[in-house]
Amino acid sequence: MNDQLKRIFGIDLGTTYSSIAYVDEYGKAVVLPNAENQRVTPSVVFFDGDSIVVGEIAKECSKLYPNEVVSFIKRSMGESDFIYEYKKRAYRPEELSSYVLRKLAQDAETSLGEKVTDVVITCPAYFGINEREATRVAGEIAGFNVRQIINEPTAAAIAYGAAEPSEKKVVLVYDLGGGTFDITMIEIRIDSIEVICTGGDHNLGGKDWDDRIVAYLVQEFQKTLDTDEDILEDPDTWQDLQLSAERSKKILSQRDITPISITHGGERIKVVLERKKFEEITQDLLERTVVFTQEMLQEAKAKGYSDFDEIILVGGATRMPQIPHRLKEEFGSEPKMFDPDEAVAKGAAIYGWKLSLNDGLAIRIADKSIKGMDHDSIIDLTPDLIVKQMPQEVADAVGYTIGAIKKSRVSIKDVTSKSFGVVVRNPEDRELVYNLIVKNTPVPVDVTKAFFTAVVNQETVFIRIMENESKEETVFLSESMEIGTAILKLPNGLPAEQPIEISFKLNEEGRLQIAAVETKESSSVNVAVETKSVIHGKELDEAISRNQSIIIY
Amino acid sequence: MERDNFYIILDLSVDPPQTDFTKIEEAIKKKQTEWSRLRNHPIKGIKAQQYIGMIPEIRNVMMNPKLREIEARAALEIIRKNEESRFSNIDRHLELLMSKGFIKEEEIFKLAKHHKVNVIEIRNRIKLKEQKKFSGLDKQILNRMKKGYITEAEITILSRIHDMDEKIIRKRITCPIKNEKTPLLKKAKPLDPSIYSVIEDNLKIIGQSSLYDFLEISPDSELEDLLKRAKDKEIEVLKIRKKDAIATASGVLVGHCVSLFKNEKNKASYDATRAQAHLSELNADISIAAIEGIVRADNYEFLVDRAVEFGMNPEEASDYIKKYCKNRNWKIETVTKNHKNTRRFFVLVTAILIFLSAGAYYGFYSYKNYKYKNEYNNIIADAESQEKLEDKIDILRNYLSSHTKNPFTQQIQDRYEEYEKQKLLSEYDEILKVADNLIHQNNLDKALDVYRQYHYKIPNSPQKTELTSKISRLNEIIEDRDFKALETNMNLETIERIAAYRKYLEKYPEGKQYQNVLMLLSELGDAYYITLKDELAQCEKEKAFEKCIRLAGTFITFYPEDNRSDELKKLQKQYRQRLREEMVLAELRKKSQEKGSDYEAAKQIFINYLNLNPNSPLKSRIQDELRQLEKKFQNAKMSALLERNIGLLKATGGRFVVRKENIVTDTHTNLMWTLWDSTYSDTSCMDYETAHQYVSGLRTGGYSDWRIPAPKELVRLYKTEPFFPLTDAEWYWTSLNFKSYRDGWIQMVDVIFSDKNKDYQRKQIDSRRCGAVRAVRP
Repeated sequence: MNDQLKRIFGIDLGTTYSSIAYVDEYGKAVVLPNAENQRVTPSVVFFDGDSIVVGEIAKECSKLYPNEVVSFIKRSMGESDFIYEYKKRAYRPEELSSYVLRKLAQDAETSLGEKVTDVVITCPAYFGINEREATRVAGEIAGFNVRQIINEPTAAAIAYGAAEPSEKKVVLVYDLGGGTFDITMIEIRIDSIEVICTGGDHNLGGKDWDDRIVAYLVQEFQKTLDTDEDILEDPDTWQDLQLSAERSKKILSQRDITPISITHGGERIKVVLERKKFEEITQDLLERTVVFTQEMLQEAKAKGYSDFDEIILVGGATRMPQIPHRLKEEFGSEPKMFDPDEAVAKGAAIYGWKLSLNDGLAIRIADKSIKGMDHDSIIDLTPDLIVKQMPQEVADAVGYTIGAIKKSRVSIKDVTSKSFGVVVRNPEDRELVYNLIVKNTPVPVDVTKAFFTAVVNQETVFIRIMENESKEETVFLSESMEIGTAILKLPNGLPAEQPIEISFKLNEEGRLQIAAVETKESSSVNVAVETKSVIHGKELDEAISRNQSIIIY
Repeated sequence: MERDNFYIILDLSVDPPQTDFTKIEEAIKKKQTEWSRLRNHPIKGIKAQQYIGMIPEIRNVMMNPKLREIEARAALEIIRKNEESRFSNIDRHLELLMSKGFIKEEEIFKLAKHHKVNVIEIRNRIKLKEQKKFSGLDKQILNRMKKGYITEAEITILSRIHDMDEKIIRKRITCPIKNEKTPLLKKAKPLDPSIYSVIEDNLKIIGQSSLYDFLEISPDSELEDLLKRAKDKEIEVLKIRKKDAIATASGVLVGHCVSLFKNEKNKASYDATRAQAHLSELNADISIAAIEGIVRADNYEFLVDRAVEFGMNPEEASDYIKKYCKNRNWKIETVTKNHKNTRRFFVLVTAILIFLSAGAYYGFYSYKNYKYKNEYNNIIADAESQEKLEDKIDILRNYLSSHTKNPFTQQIQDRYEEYEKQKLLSEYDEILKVADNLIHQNNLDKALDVYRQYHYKIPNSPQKTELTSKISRLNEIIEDRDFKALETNMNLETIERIAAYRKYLEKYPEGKQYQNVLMLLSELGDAYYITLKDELAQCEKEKAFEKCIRLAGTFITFYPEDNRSDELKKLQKQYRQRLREEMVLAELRKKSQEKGSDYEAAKQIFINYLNLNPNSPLKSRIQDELRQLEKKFQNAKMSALLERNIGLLKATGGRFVVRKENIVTDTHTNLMWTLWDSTYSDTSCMDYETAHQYVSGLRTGGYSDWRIPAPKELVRLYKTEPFFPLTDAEWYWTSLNFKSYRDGWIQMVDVIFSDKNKDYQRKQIDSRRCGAVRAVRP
């Protein structure tokens, strides 16, 4: 790596598989293999006595030690009450994810010969504030400087745009991963990537297809041996069937039938699963993805985008033949598979590289160390502008090729996948949520709205900050979830109907800041939404300290 | 939608309800770990997620006493309802078994075993069933009336199921009756069981019973309407604020709705699968009907009716039941015929029987009698042929319990009772033999046990009187033996003898020798008391107060009524007090010792205690401890000083030589000086006269000619280098003195200051002042 710029790595932290990538001096994103020479690492953690094993070996050990292995951690991110207990110690999802991140980083360091310090981590577009914060904290526990959290479909689009640049193209990114589903409409141009609309479900992914196979196998076992015993009560059998199901699903993507062996309680049976049967028992899952897609297209239409040029498939689960077949049937367009396992990590790496380039240029602007620059007008220049106006000089300064420098000029605009608002009372004195920021609004965004006090001499304003998925301006309270609160103290003697200005500021990675101001005497309150669902405070410090002393294999 | 009860999902006791905060919190933590582990389970994952999401609410409710009480009451109600539901299965099976007109004891036992309940519960249900005859019928009528009418065919089926006249049934119907055949269900291919299972699991999470209920739409709606409703539901689901288990389950169900209501074929598959879902109930009914390996004809018809109730058509039902039985090698008594023909045949046979009954009655009665007699003979012969009495009894008992009464029943009963008597007699003889043997071996206690056990087992045996008499006699013999043993144990220690007497008195509270033994015990009391006092004095001396308490306690136990026991109780109290004091003192000592050589800190331990307990009985002992510590402190100080001084003297390069016994020789003058001046051994005021007495009394080094030095001699120590080591004394007396008049004659003495910062100083001081002296010789 050019030692003039600090490397920022891109990490795809997936439900079932994770990977790490970086951008070389030619501006090409490269995925780094792990110690087992795989380009994707299973997101599985095995507690082996005092040490921790992550990856393929952990996955293999799940058969023998099902109670010491944790997987699908991403599905529990942001859940405050999920804990994994091992040797009387409780581990939160953030800490477990940090072990996966550390494994990726360790192997990358060995492969590349340099330390991983700064990272960009991806998350599903459909993650809310709690889940995003949990992802960031996982990175911090692992000891990284987390530069940004970006959306997976956006990252995939960045990688796609870098690989197949075009003047202008509207693509649907159909991202079906191990545990989550995102459907995003993105406009890709030479120098920009703009997210139009997004939708999905962070509880729908390849794992659900596996679970259907498991349920089917259990039924077959019961039918064959004429028993109603729930064989999944046995953790060994459960784990075994889970692995068999995943394997079978993959085989059925290539072949029409696959034999599966089920062993439990001394009994062993063989089941032959046909692709046709598999598609029958998972039909409803596929239909759900189509419904989400249709819903998202409706929203895009409202924004003036009634058509698209391509559907690109991202995520390992899109390898199932039923996916492209159904999408073609529904939308009349042949979907395109684009690097399903690595696109997200590569896109994140490219984004990280762009950030590091900005950092480097900012330093050089300060140092005035770029040759050929008119130093007097430096103050007016931004890194993007410098790159645009003098790419060769920049390339010389930072040691990258000019082609690579030109590629970095891509601007990225994302949207929020959730709506954010406050609880208000309507004229009928009914509590509602007023959305200051509506779903699919481009970010960053800063919105201010005036609300009014209710009574004379009101002493405080209690602000309840809500998150929901509606695209309406007002929604019922029951359709929203509270993510934070703030109290604004008011001066004495205020009349009723006094305006209170509330500002919501949402940045690119979905971090929300709220400010409330009483306009008469300018008393104010600022609050960064504290996600109580995520590990923090003393617990976080302990997790970081623990992480430093644990060996990850 | 009602949520799961927290007491139930936490597996906490409901009756009485668990209220301990610690135990509740433990249960919550345990379940939190368990649910987290199941979070990604293919079938239980959604439910686990739901429960995890409920944890804050669970804590809220369970930690609030009022809310918790409400929850406990609700739990009890749920348990009660579950019990009721369990009984409904039992009732259904009872109906099946009683359809033949009666139910056998064996069947009752087997049914109790199948449902894992007590036999008494089954009998109670039989009673209740009789009371609920009509309520079951009304429920089924209501079910069928839901479509707005009821058909003639359905009335016929109900009449057969409930064994009631159709007229009675018609009276209970409140809707139009149509003359239609029961509609046939289309034969559709059912869904894969795994899919249906997923649908059902998710419906349970949201508390609905079918996809139609979920969509809030009638099952008879048009396909188009169903699909539209599914899509509307999807939008509703998307709006759900929290992505919890309910949202996830709803999302899954919407997917299924869209998939299943896409076309008629899929919908029919779902409907057919729903109908077949009742099969598990039907399977349980078939298993009960075939409890003895064969399904009787009337039970078979019952089962077909049941299946029809669930929505199958009669042919389907018949095929299903036959296949199910065939797979398990169960036979079916008759093949289904047309029900109307069967009825007609039965009526005809009955009519013929009635017509012939008068004439055939006698013959029938004779035949029955003959049959019973045969049975009786066979049973008796069978019983007689057995060698063991128990086997004979078993045969007769089984017959009596499994056969209804007949003219020969009483005879069999009599024979049974006879055998029982014989058995008792034989058992009695056996125990007599055993007891006699034991008595011969002089094992009287064991022989008595044998009698008593038999008497306890069969309290009203025919040999009761004889046995009671034997027990009483043997008791007396044993008592006499025990008393004689007491008389021969005079060699034992007093306390052992006392123990033996007490044991006798407890064993024979109404024994013949009770008073005698009491007197013996009382006589021993005096001697015992004297010994005890000696022992108490000894243990007091040793400060072994626990032993003192124990010894006193023994006397009190043996002689609770004795006056001396009261005195001993008082003593015990004192001992306890002393024991407490010893423990306190030991603790203080231990803490003090922990301070090591920090004697000030060690003393402070005791001082603090005295400050807190100024009137403590330990005061004088603690003061002793303080004195000892002070002594140790001084000794330590002295040792340190000695070391210091010797070091300093050695550093004088040979001028001052330290000899043993604390003497230092000044090699310049050959004078001997004491190493220690008077301040180290005498802290009282050393005026001049006392100083003279002090030096004349000194015997340091074995010398008796120590004296007070002259000024010049003393000055030499401090004038010429190397100097003699300094001490705490401000000045020293010298031998030079004179009288002076100051308000009377006083003696003035020259003294020397040992101040290294100045040259020697010499002045005169009143002889009555307090000073110090360093002795010299010769």
